[in-house]
Amino acid sequence: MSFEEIYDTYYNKIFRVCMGYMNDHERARDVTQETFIVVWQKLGQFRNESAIGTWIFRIASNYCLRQLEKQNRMPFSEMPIDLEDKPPPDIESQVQLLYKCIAELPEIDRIIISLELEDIKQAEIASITGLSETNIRVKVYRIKEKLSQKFKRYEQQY
Amino acid sequence: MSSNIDFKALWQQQPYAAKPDINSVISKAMDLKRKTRSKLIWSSLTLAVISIIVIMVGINLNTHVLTTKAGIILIIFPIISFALINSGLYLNMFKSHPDADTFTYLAELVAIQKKQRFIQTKVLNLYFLFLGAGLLLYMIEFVKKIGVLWGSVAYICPFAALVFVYFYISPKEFRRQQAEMNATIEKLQAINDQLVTTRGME
Repeated sequence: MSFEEIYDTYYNKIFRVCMGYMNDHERARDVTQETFIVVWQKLGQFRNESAIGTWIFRIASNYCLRQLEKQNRMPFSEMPIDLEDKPPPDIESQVQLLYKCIAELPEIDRIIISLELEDIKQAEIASITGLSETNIRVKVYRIKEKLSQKFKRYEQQY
Repeated sequence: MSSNIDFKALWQQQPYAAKPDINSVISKAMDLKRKTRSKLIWSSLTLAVISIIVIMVGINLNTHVLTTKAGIILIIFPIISFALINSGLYLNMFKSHPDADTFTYLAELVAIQKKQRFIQTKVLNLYFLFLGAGLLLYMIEFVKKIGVLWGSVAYICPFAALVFVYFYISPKEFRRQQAEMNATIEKLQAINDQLVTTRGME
């Protein structure tokens, strides 16, 4: 698979996972671009030990988690800004509420649920995070429960 | 509590993000590659220049006094070590693998941060220790020739500067960097603990 094909196939998927983790349009865009820079740099070293998608999601997940390490050193939005740069799109309130609920979860839960909602197989999520499939199954169930509680509470408030 | 809200359907409702031009990503990647390469070239050049200076000093050293020779070696040693740490060796020591699984990657990041903290604490102290000891030994031969009074002045000046840097300037910067590193290690460790706890659920 060429870099161009990978970029076209995975850009939106990766952006959504980053957005789920960050709940911040600018930062999600930066991390998505950082992910593709690493993909471009390391594509020659990719040895088909895992599916290409798993490999890319691993990089994206790790870069999301790494943001706290980089916060002190590197200002956001240093990545290339292109002509399509515009304010965050006005996404629907329910989706915003979902982001808000996910943002309140612990970091690993945020990654797991974002990958799950992006329709990544649980075996793949296990391979991305380094956890077992059983762990992921249990985790996903519990995270969804937590999300439902939060979601309903917020819906009652507004 | 039932999980009857269809989060997946909601998730799929997200509008597509404006995809940046692929060429801007590629050019940024190439730019980073160029920067890494030029950093390596510069650090190798610095190392080469320092090595040449050391060899020249060694060749032109007109002294048979052991303390002077030992002093020069002790002064040069931390400078070379510093240059080496900044060169390729440094890059490899602190390399992480973002395509590893999260558990491995986080452990790697924590280890890297700890290495950096170690270098900052231990190596900085060693640097000043070697530099101070080297200076002390190097000056013995010359101080003997100029007498006790001027000799004392000659010793006090550089050591006062060294003490000022060690006890006043570097602790300030050092404390700031240490606080940042400790906070980062703590946060990374906390995320890692989330994974460890999840693994323990089985």
